[in-house]
Amino acid sequence: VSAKPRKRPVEYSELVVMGATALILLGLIIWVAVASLTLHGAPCHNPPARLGQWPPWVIVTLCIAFFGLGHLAGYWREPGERATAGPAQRSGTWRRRAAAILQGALMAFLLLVVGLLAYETYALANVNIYWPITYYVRCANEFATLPTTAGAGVVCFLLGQWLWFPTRGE
Amino acid sequence: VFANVGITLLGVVVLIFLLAIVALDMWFELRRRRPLGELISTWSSRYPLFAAGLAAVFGAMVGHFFWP
Repeated sequence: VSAKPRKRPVEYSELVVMGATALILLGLIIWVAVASLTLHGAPCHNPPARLGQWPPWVIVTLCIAFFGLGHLAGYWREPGERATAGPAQRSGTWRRRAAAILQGALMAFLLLVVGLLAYETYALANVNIYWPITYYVRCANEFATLPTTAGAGVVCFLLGQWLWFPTRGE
Repeated sequence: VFANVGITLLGVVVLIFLLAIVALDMWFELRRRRPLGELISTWSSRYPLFAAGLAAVFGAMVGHFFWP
């Protein structure tokens, strides 16, 4: 007689972290949408200034700090649920399915990066017609440093939580 | 030339993509399924060099955008 598999418990700490992240992202989306709809031209220099309202080292340090915070947030999860590289931790079917999903998502992400880099290259060669992505980011940083840094910080936090997750040995 | 659609695409689309992942993460957590974040974490634990490469690419982008 095989025992019914026990459902994994809901991790409320994870929900709180992700809920707070979702709220910040939602606030940024609304702010960007409202700001971009009300703009009637570039709110910055053309080409945008390389420096925003804050020194560059402050933004880069904050990004690194948020990346580290994402790693630390991983410790709030239940130790038994932490990600592990051990092959015996998951069933073969689950691992194969997860690997297929992730490889597909990674391929799609890298294809998106290739597309964005192609646009960046084309726009740099025709900078009088199209702005490259770099210009848009620097324009946002020049016009609104705090929301731009918040957006970069949220992305760094998520990357820190997903890519630098504590393993069972830590 | 600056275009509103550019800043909208850059800001809203990228942020909505992230918000969708976070929302799915929360949904799976509430349904007691393995959240997407855990799948990514497991993948990054299995392939730390790939994960470090992705983090390095993003770090290089942050440096390129914000640190002239």
